[in-house]
Amino acid sequence: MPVVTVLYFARCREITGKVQEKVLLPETVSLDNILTELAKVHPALETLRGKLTVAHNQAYLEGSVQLQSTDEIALIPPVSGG
Amino acid sequence: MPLSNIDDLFQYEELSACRDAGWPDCFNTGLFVLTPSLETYKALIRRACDDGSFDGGDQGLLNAHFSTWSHGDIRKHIPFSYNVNPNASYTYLPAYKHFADQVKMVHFLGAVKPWHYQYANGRVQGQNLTEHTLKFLEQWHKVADIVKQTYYQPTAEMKAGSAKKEGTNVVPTTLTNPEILRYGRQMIVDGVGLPGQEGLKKSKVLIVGLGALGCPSSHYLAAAGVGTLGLVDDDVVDASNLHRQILHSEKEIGVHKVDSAISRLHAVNQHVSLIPHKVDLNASNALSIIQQYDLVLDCTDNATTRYLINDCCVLLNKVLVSGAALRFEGQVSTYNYKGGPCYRCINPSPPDPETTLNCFEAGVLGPVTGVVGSLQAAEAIKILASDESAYAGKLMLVCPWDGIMKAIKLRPRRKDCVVCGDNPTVTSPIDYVKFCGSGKNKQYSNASTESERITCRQLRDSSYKHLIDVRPSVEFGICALENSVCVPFMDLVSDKVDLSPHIPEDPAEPVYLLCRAGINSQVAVQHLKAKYPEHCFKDIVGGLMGWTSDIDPNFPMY
Repeated sequence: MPVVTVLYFARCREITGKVQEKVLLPETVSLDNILTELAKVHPALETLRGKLTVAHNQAYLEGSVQLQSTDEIALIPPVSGG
Repeated sequence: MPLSNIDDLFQYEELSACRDAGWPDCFNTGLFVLTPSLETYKALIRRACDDGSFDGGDQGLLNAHFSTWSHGDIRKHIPFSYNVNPNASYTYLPAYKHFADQVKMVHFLGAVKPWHYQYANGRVQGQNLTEHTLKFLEQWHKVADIVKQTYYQPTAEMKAGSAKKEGTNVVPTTLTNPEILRYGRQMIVDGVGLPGQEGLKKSKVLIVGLGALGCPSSHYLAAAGVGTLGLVDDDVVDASNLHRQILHSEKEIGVHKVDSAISRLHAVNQHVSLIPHKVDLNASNALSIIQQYDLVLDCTDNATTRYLINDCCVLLNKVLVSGAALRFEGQVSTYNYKGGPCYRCINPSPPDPETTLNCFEAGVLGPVTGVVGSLQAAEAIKILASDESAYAGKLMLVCPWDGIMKAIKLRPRRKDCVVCGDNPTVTSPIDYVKFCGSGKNKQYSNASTESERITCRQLRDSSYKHLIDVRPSVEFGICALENSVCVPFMDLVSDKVDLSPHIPEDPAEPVYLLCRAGINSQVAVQHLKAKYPEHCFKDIVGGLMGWTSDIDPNFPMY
């Protein structure tokens, strides 16, 4: 299983208390199961399901994708402030 | 440049064109016959977004779209004499010489254009030009002179300017000489130039929100010479705005933000027309305001208004440059640009009001909003000056605090988007407060019953033993009540900390919960009651803000 870099933005940063971390993830992930996997470590991430953008290697994640250890996942909830 | 009447082109059907001299199976798009149609326009836009163009330009796109041209109806092949490029070095030179007199249209294709050549006394100065090329160039300049003399009316200022430099050529322009001098530093940047600056001058931009993002963006757009700026806000300047809202100054505390902005922007550039909209943008006024402008900057601070602006921009086909910032990070994207996604395509469901924090609750660094507002201004200038976008289909993430700047490629337009999709259900503004489950200013319901609460006055008069302050530790470090302990709300509700040291042995001893505004403390009471049902927990109405206003005006508030 690949160990990928996960970047946390905005609300995800508050929930996890981290800017980024290395996480062991399944070889194939989709929008749905990536949140399930990460919520095992940070349960409160579950509250953002359907309300955030997930990027895989700087591109919007749709469907499923094969992960490699050099990959980067970013969790990006919308920010509303200004 | 037509050399004779070309009305006979009207007999051709769509899509008729001449062969491209470089690849005769393609047609050259310097001249073609097309029936104007919104359907074709939309199909081309869709194709440009989905597939792009194989040569990066119009010719590749149109050849891909009208792909049967080369082997289809030969009557749609217009004779080559309608699209002759005098600069090309033709391999069939005898034919070029033989048919030169029959040329109907000249296409000055490539980097060298007629206006790059000096022209005086009926002659063009240039080396290595063939006789025919020279003839076409001179003919172009003769026509250009007639057009200038007939149609071009210089302004009084330009007459004065050109009188001083008699004998030089003046390019027709809507800009005055002082404007060219003023904007010169940005006009000499590739992608702006004279047409770009003229584009800015005739543009109308609406800035919604004159807070931390609207201040820097409107400042740069006014300074850049955008012709008209519409300014929307319904708030007055507060001292707590000044660390980030850089148009407003100390003497404007209490002044309407629109008035404060107009006085500052007018001082920056008196030529910009500044239109005040002292309103709270809402579903009943947004369309009539937004429709007066070419491009909208979303500089607001709440999800409700963001969805409203997005929907109106889609309905009115306006480009939306959206910026947002909180704490030490920001986001920028351009929505509804040339068939790209809208805000709803990326965020179909609104965020939960409980999880969305604003700058009052979560804080924000001034320079972060400065970066985001500046990116919005740069994007608006690029779109208006060069008709190209840097952030359409992308989400720019900026986090100056951690040294992160990333552009995420977004998904394309959602075909099932409720506002910009193929079968939209949102065809006019909706009730956005209901949709987002929260107003511009959050409406909090009281979680606690009266018996679970005490006022600041009651707290002062009690000899409390157990007072838990649930603000984040950074806020606790700014100011705190005597004998209070800090257990941050997030730690408390996620059970990340051991609470037992703060729970008295005697369940009758009350434990008081305190926060900044009296909201989180109520949630904390409910959480603790569920965990320790025998104990007595009470929240303090109004929190520390209430303490400052009711008990101790010297207690600092932020």
